[in-house]
Amino acid sequence: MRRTLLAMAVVFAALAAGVFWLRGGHEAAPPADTATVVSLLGSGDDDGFRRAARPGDIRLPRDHGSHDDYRSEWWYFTGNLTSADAREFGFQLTFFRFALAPPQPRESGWATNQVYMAHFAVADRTADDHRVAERFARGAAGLAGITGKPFNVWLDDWSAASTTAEFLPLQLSARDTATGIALSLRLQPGKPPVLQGDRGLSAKGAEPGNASWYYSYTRLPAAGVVAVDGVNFEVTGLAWLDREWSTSSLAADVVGWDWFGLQLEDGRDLMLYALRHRDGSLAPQSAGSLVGTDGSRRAIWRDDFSVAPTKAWRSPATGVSWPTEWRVRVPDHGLELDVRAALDDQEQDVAVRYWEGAVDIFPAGGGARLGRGYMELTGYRRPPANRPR
Amino acid sequence: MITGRLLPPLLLQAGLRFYVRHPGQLALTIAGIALGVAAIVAIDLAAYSSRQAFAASTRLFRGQATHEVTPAGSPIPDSAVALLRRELGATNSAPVIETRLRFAAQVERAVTLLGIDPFSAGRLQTTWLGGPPTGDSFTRLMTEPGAVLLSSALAAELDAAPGDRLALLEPPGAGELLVTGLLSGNDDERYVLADIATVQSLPRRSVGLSRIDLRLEAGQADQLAPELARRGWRLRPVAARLGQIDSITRSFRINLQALSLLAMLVGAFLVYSTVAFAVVRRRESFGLFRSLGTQRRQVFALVLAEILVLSAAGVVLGLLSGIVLGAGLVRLVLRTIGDLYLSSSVDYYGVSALLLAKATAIGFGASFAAAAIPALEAARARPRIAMNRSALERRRRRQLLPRLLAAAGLGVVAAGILVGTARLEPAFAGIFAALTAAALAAPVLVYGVMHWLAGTVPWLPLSYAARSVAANLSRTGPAVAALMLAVATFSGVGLMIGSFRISVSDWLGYSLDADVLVRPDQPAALATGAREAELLQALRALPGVADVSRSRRVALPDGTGLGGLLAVDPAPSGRWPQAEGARDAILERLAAADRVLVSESFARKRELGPGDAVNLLTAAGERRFEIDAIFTDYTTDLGLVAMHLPRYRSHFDDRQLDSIGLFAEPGREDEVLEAAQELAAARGDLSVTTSAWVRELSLEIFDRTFTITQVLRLIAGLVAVIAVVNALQAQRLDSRRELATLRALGLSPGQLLRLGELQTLLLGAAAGLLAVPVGVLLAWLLIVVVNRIAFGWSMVFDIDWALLGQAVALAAVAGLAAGWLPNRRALRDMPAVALRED
Repeated sequence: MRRTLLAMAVVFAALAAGVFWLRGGHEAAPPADTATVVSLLGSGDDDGFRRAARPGDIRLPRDHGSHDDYRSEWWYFTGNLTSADAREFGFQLTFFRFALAPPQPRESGWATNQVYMAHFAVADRTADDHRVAERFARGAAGLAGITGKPFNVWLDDWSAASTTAEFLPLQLSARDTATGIALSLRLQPGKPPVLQGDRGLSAKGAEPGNASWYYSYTRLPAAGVVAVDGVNFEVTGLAWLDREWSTSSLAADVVGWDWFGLQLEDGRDLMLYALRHRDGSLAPQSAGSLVGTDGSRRAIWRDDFSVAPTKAWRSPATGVSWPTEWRVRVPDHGLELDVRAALDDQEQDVAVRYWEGAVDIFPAGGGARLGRGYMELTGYRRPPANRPR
Repeated sequence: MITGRLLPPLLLQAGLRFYVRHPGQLALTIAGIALGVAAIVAIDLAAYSSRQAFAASTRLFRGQATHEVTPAGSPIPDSAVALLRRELGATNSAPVIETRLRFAAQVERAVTLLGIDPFSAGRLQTTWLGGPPTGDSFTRLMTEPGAVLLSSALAAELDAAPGDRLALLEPPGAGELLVTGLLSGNDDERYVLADIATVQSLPRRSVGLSRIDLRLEAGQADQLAPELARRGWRLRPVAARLGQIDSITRSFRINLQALSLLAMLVGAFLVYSTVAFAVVRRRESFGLFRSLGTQRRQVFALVLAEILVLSAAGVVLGLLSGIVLGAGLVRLVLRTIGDLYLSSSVDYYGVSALLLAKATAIGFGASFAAAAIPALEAARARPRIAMNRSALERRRRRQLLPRLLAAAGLGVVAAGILVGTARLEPAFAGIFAALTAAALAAPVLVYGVMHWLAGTVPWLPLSYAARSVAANLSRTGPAVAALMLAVATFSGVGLMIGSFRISVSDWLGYSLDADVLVRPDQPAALATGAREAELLQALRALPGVADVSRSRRVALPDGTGLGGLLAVDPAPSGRWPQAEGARDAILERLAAADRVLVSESFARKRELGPGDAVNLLTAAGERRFEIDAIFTDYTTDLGLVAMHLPRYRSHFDDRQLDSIGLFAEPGREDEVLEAAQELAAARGDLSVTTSAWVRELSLEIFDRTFTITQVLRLIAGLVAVIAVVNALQAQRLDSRRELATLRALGLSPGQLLRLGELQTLLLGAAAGLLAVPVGVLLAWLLIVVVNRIAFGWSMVFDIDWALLGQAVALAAVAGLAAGWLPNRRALRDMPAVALRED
């Protein structure tokens, strides 16, 4: 799950384009600190939006499309790719939709309450190089939007589009001249979609309605081209799609979260998210899934797993210490894993600062690689002493 | 006893007391200076403000934009931004709708309303803002109807704060705006910022986006330009915009400045004539001063000191009235610029110290220059002779020949300049030289004419009056020159405008040759062959329709993006194009080969003609098009190229139509209009107008454009009257003894009055008649030299005899009217007092 983005939704509600203008207006202005973002949660006025409440309401393919009456929503593609000469890449292409206000009809081709944000990142492991691009657009005048049949979500010329009337295969396309990265990837059907939480209803807090709709495609065979600075690499690999929409906020004592999407070579996929309290303990809503080779799902709850950081990497750019290596345990399923960042610097210093990147999976204590995956870290601050004026 | 000091206070007192005792004289002198200064200030102010306003409008909300896309033939639809980003690779693009509004709380000033997409603006890293907006306003800006941000300068003016609702006067029916925040920043721009959706939902005159700002990589513009040109949009560097505005408005500004200098020239003559009169009137006093031992330089200094005091008053008055007049003029000028060039939001932009200093300097300078001659005259006079007027007249007559020679010499210089130049500034210098030559020659010519009249006309009163006018040349000369100049300006500018108007009206008859115009509201939607064919069929089937023409106008696809390309499928029974040669033959050649017509402006600015070729960027790359002929066009001075529509479509990937012309069978025009309107109402995607209406609108804009010139003509007329009043007062005053003698000889007061009126009438008529050739010359120069250089277009030279007759009549009537009071006063004063004078 992507709690980061819940927070972003609230950032949007409160600051909207303000963050963005701040960045435009003052180059030195820092992006909103995720921790401050968390403190803003609950301040948004969610009246008029729907909330995720009853388990089992997800219907596919209908729910691949947009849910404008919910506050926020995303299509989150990540994956690990390998070229013919064994060069490895991580990629992320994410489309976020945020509603600034409940839908209301207005007389203008530009009128909309829907705002789109997209993040596109490529990690070139061989070159120890991670690049990220961010774009915003309003969901009007064809700048960004979602169509249902065939499915297409786009912002500018970045898009994820069904190539047939079916949802899969999907064609991912993105190109950013400023950073020099480009992606053209075809995602084929792999495992069927998995409904997370309780039949798709993923609780985020104790109160009812404080939840999201959440489903995942944990394994999608991918093939296509990654380009860095105009050099094309033919690649194949595995992608992961997280879909989530909600109108909800975090509990007041949650300061951040860590998310893992791990694709094991034995064919199983493990998803875990840990909501952190200020004292480091995990919130009771922390959970996950283990998806078998046949696509069957085993729910994992708070007491079924543990995650612990084993190494911190301090970003020279922002001064934030990110835990880039972890020990992950799910004893019931015999899993005891070391998760290590493919490269430390996959920090995303964009509108909201977070860490999102490719990871390798090893047996705890050492041994041959067991798989690859993606990890998301949020809510980490600069140590106060190091905070520049 | 008067000491040797340069200007003893007593002397100055005596000098100024003269003006105090003659308030009319005082008023005339000051008015002359004030008028000239006011004209300069007002016109400069207009030019300055328009420049400032344009500059400001180019700065607003540009961020790091390198280029902009503007409509050039076709409106820019909302979908253009998505097209740019998704298909043409221009992701850093920001749509802007710019319009104007007027708050009910601030009726006197309009303000710019910028409609932007905050996210797009961010892509251009709009950094100049000076700081983020205050208040929690962004979400509301995008989601609340009517939400706006005010610049801090405007908020201060309106005394508005976040949360306030501001009622709008303009656009009408727009209701209220809600202030959701302020834009901080230390610039003093006044503007309103709103989400583009908010602006789009306000009532507006034009459709589509005002522009799209772009931040392009090197080389990207070259790929993009032809793509956009095909769609009727223009791509150009932002930096070029200011430059282009400069060049667009340059001709306009130079024209205005020339007019203001003309006003000053006339004003200077006025000053000269009033000061000269004041000197003439005090010959006796100066003679007395001299006989009492006052030195020449002291007399000279006295006259200059007087003029210094009077100039100061005149300049201050002129500056003040110039600013007031200028505020009005600015509105006219800016409206004209908006009409003619771009729908920019321009407004009054205040007065610069430099401008005031310049006007002050010119005011004093011209006054001193004008006063120097009479001052010298006063100083040069020997004590005895200074008291003798006939000596003055004799000397004046001796100067006739040198003056004539000087005028002829200046005329030759003027001709030399005018023949040789292709630039606007020297052309105006040449015109001034020519006018000055005419002004120099005018008194000489009047003298000659009056002599001739006096010698040949057997009617005694007339010959007497003529002789009297000729004899009093020291006073009548400058007045005649001033009056002649004023009337010549009046008639010359009038002739030019009249000729231009006739040419434009004539051309409108060619270019709008259909009876009814049908415009697709969404040209793109019709751009498939089937839909267009279906529409054309429906239009042809309307009752009374004899013929149909089609046209499309886009920005010139030649890389420069300057100028336009017009593709026409003319109707066989139509009149377009207005070109030399047989219409059928031209159209046949255009249809048969890659040949084009070019407008006069195009031909002249690029120095091309029939037989030459232009290269255009077609869908298949650059292609040569041979120029078949030159045609008349007044839509743009940037140049227009015209080609046959089917040829255009075969070369360019554009099947849109801007306009379809319907030609009615004779007498069935109304029927066609009604049928077309019914069709439009039923379909809902067409606009229908009549050509007559568009012609009328065009001429209305034309007339508005020249309103400022009319104001100038009015000033010239005013100067004429003041000049005549001045001259006649002087003459009548000097004629008192003469009148007394005549009275003593037995003429009745009525006869004397008629004689006086005859003289003033003669004077006015002589100036008016002289103004005819000078006015015609001025008009000819404006048409043949100035307009060709500035705009590249020619026009018929239509001599409006009625207008010229009017000018002569104006001069004569001005003479009569101005002489009314002096004539009567002269009679009232005589005879006893006048005869006792010696």
